[in-house]
Amino acid sequence: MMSKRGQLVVSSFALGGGDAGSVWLGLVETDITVRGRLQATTEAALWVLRDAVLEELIDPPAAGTLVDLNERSWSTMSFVSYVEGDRTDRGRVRSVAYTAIFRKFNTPP
Amino acid sequence: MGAEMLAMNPRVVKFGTASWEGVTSISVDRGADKVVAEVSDLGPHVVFVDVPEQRVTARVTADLLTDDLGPPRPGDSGALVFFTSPAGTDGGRKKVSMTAVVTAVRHPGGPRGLARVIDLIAVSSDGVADPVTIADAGGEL
Repeated sequence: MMSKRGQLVVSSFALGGGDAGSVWLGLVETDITVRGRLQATTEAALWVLRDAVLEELIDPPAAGTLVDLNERSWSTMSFVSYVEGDRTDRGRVRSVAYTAIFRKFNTPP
Repeated sequence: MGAEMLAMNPRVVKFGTASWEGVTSISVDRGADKVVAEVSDLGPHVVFVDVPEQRVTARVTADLLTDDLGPPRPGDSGALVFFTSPAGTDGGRKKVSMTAVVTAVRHPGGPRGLARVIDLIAVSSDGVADPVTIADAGGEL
């Protein structure tokens, strides 16, 4: 899912202006949100998957090309956030939902 | 391993230390409390389904033979035990048991008079073990 695109617009008043107008500050950075589910047959195997994802969260963030399943490519994207669902689901398999966010910084790292 | 089941006219039904008389049927059902279903980015169909939370419920239906103001009451916990056999004999006789908690006691009317319907939820010992145990009973009472 792609985030809102367009100008960051703030009121003139917020910047110390004396009128009711607004000011554009430039194009906002693009976020790509990926929602999915890690699946494994054992608890340990699920942690292997988690750890592999977490190893990609580095400081400073590295830029790379993000490719979705429909073969759309997004260049200079940085992996900035990984959030799991409220619990590990333990049914036939072990699984956990996640949300990962990639950002195209205006000033790439 | 338990299974969905319906026991008709079980001769012996116990809940904790009490024996329940006049039981005409016991049903044990399984259902999903939580279903995980995921679709992919490629199309409309579900590609992953799992049931990480499920519930085993039991419903005991008994003829109410006399006035009865006593238990069970919602919240009561105990071992629900009953015996089934295909022909009322000891051959193939099974003992079904589960720790269960009463969630409702109702008294609907029916063609045979007033009945007592007791709903229970089976409890697993650790969340992994199946809460229903079925074993060969032989001549056990």
